[in-house]
Amino acid sequence: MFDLFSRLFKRDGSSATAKERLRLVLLSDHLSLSPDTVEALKRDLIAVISRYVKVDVGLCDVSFEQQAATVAMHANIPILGMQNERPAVAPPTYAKGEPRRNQASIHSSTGERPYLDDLKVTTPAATMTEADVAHVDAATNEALNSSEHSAPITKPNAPSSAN
Amino acid sequence: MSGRRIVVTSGKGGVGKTTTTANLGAALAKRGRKVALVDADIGLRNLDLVLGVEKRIVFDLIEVVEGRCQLRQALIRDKRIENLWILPAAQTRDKDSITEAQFLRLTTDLAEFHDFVIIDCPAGIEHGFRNAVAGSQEAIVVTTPEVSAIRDADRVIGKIHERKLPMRLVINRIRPDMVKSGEMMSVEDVCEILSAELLGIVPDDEEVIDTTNRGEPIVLDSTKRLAAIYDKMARRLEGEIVEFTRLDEPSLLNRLLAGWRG
Repeated sequence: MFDLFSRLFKRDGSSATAKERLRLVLLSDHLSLSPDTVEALKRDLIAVISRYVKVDVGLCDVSFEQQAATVAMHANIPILGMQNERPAVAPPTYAKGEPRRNQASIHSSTGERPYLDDLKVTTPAATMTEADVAHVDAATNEALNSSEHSAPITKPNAPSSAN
Repeated sequence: MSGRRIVVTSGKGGVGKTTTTANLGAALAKRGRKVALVDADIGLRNLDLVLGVEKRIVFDLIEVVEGRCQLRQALIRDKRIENLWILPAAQTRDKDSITEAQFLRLTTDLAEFHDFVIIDCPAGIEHGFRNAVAGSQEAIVVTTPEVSAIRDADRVIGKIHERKLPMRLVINRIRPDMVKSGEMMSVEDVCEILSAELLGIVPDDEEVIDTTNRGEPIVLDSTKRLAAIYDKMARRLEGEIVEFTRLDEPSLLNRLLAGWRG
């Protein structure tokens, strides 16, 4: 009788949890990526897309599916509209505890991009959307806000790009 | 004649490789096929015990490979099921006593006078696994609906893909009542996660322990609930399209009234 009751009132069994945990662990097994890195990938993907179009961050769904011998990534990202300004090159977000040197190397490599000067002039940090800001971690956020007049890429070390 | 050489593997131990090998082999033999079952678990042999032939071992697989006896001398004929033969593993040697090439030669020789050579693979993905796979053309991966078994099955499936062997899945020890209440992953869940084609679904049943205790294949007694399940598995292996037994029916009352619907 107790069994019957517990079954009637059980909303969600553990099998769904098992399935979800397996999905994630198999993905990291297959790609040799840690679950943290996979999460960071999802965040960055959404952040990059939201620089070009306005997306509904709450409804974004990024999943991975095992196919015969490969892994496919499926992203369902609802687009609310276009961004008004040209895309700002925002620094990527990182998982907690990841070393900052990656960020520095991305900044230095931006010197090769042809539209860099253009960006520096026309896109101040203020054009970043809420979605962007939400996905940029606290430290980077602070760095962006501390200087109203410069786009993020001009800050650390892109001396070659100065006019 | 050249029979099919099939490895039964799982990665994780204790999910039912030996039980599957024994009963699938017995089911095929009951259908009139000539079947050789090979225990590739050198040092930890068990297939002989599950099939109740442990007292009749004279020579083992390693002695055949080392040329100390003829292959036919080491094969044990099952006295209950015609056409079923067992090649026992060595119990006091280790897994490095045989190479992949030797294993391939051995199973190829067996395939010359059997329709099916079914290899019971040791757990793990090391030397013993590589040997068993080297001797096979097809694979059957056995798993249970548990996270650890599925993860290991996934690893093994990856290894089998690398060798480009066709592979099918047996999901063992399904508990329909638990699946219904959401406490166990369903057959569909497991197939989806492993993206594998299904060969068989075996419900969890105390018959397995009971028949293993006696050293009898389940298919020997056609009144057993699992006998029909293994027979269907054998037919699928032979290319027949056979519907899977529905597992979601038996409420206790149904079971008492109607018995198992094979």
